[in-house]
Amino acid sequence: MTRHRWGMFVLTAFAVLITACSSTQNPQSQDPAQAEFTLLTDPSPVAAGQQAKVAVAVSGIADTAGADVQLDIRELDDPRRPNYVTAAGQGDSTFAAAYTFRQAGSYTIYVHYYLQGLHLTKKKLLEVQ
Amino acid sequence: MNTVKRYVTQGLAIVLLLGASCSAVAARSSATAAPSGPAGIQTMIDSAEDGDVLTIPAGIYEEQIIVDKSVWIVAEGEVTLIGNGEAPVLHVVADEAAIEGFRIEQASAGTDAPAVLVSADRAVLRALDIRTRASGILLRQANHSRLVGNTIRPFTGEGESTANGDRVYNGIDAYDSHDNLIEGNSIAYMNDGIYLESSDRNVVRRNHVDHSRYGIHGMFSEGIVVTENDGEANTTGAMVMGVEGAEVASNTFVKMNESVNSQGILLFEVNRSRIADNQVEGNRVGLYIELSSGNEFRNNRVIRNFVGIQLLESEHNRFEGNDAIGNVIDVEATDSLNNRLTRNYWDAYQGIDTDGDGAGNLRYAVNPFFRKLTSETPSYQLFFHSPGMLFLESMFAAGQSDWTFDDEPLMKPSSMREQEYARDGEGGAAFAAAAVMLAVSLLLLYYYGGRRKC
Repeated sequence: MTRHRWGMFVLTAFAVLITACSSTQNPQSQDPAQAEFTLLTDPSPVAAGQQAKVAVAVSGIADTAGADVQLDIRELDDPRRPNYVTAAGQGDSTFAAAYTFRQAGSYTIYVHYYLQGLHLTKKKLLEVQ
Repeated sequence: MNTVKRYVTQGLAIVLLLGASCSAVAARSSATAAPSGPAGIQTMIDSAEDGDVLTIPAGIYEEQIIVDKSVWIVAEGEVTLIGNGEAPVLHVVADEAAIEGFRIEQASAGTDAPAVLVSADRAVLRALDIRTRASGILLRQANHSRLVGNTIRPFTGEGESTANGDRVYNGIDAYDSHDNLIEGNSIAYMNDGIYLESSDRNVVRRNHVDHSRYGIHGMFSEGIVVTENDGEANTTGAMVMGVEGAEVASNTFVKMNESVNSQGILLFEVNRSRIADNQVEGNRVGLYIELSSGNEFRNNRVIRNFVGIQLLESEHNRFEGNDAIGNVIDVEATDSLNNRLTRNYWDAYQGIDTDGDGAGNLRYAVNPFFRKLTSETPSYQLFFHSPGMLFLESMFAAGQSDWTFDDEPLMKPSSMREQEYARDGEGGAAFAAAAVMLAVSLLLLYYYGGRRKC
């Protein structure tokens, strides 16, 4: 009987240990292929020379709290020069910045998403009229 | 007359002795104290001519230096240069200047000033030991320079755990700087070890980076060469983005598993480049390839990653001679068509080679069943390679037209192929030696036996 009680105790302790290990908050890995960044503008379409709100709606990522988002908006006359604009969190997995596009044309925007060592990049195109 | 001569001689001897003593004291003090101000390094540079070699005595120098002449500045012994201001500790503005053997400390909190800033061409920075609260070495419009054998670490004061608050800077950071050689540097605990942006044809070779975000990070830089570097415990070994015609070869990025999102080599919008002979081991993804096309992946060793090779919106890439060993998922391809995989080794491949050409007779189909299952329910990873999982996987054959195939999967990994090749070489040499010995023995038999009887 005593042996049986000790056995139960050891098993219970083992179960508690396993449960404790499992409940530890380990960071989740993120599949970059699952992340989707949707580019939104206000107004839409954007007009050259007028300030617009450029937003990125993030999906496919479990938790975006504390993330930093930067928009690298390449100017048409100097596309090799990086032009980083910080997009502020809007509280609904959306990050937005105000920007004035100087010329009409097709702009390339690289969206950089940073969160706890994770860095995701997506390329977006935006037509400015 | 003799007495006068004697006094003169004695006087001269005393003067010489005093002079020698003073020099010795000065030399000793320069080895231990801080000869900043008039006797500092800047003063020496100011009074130098182009082409001069300045040998700096051992000591601690608290000053910020502007190298505005083409001089070679060499540390003699332990020379420590400490900057506490808003400016870089060392700023090279003259072409063809060289700095060698210094320890440089950028100890100023709350400034973005780097330890070393180069804004000139053909500079040489060699064997610098840099401790910095901001970036280590910045290249700005600096071309044809050589950064060789430098060490870069964050500066941490007593009781401090981080370099400059929460912000971490890059070790070597180049912008609009072309044709430079970055070789044999050791960088640790920085943001990116080596960062290149809009900097073409730079050669990054034999550097070591650990405990940083990206070991090597190349952005929009044409024709960069990244070879023979190694890294460990970084989030990503090398990230290359927006590049045409790069070469990423013979690099080793291992033990990256401190980050759940680690990647061996990350390519984003990289085209017509060569990625060869690299080893990527212990990452979430070994080779991550997005929006990239026309690249050649050859003889890479992709070992013990969760996903060996991941393709996203990438087409017309060629994979040949690579080894995929111990990966949970060999290949994952999304929206990626027309990639050619041939004559790679996959340890999960089960086939036979009846014609003895080293490749299996059946093509290797990368079954996406396990990937799909675990992406929806990650805890099913526990059943990796379990008999039940393998059985279910064999039953799953839906959508085969979208699967990834290797036309001629190799039967043995490169290490075994190399051993066999070496053995073949040894066998040939042994055969040649045996043939020579046989010929010699026959000649001897003929000479001492048959020929004498005639």
